[in-house]
Amino acid sequence: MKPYRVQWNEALLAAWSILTLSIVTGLVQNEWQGRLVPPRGPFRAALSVPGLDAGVAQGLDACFLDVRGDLAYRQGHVAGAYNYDRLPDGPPRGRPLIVYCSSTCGRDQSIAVRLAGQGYSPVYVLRGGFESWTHRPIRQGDQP
Amino acid sequence: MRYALLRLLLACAFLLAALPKLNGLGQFAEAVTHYHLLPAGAVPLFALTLPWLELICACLLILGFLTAGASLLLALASVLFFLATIYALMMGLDIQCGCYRGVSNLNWLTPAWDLVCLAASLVLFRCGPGLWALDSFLEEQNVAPDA
Repeated sequence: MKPYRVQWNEALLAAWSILTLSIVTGLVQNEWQGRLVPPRGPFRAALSVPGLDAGVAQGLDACFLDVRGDLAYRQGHVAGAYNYDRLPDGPPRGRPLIVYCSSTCGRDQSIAVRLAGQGYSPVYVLRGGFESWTHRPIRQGDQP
Repeated sequence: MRYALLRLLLACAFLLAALPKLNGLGQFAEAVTHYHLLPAGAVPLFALTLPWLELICACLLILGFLTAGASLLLALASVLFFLATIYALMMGLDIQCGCYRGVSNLNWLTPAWDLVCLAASLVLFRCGPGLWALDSFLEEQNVAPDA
């Protein structure tokens, strides 16, 4: 039996073909089954605090949604933010939503996806989380 | 014989990884976003492509067809998973792994498993598909007229 030798050209060509086939199949499946994954991403965008300032300067009137949990919310939250865990009917509609968590929790993304799926639009995620909200108005206690 | 076994085991591992992702592409896209590694616009394409890549490569490994290409891609994917999981663990992200059904939160076993998959893929790439492989059969067919 002949010893096996790697044919790099064939391997790279095969890898490229498999990758192309995977991309095409994934896109076709997504269209076929009705946009399982929205083409522009699961949520509208991640918004940094400077980006938010620019938005506010252009008239953005957004509603903040704190998803860190009860204790963290009571200890301090963005002024005017709602506590997601205490909103049985969901956040108010009609205004852009800015969802934030702590910088490491990851819950903001999944809740933003869920809200976008429930028809809220646009839904933003605050990049850097609550920790990026420095030298800005913070309140303590319950819902506004 | 041992390479054939390794090929089938690696194929099973990636088959088990691909099927739950294909059944819940939305959740998988969510899991990808939690890593904070890709821009929002790149998440859908990645989330749609990766499960099919794993499935197609697993099927090819079972058949022993285009083994070098499939194992090369799986090695690259394993490196990617390893780096992503190490990054998430170092950053202290408390997130879902998005790897297999039933494996919930990320822990240090995840990058260790990625290294095992990487090693297996590289061995297959370097040493070939072994017995019961279409590649070996086709190569013998090509060699036969000269013999």
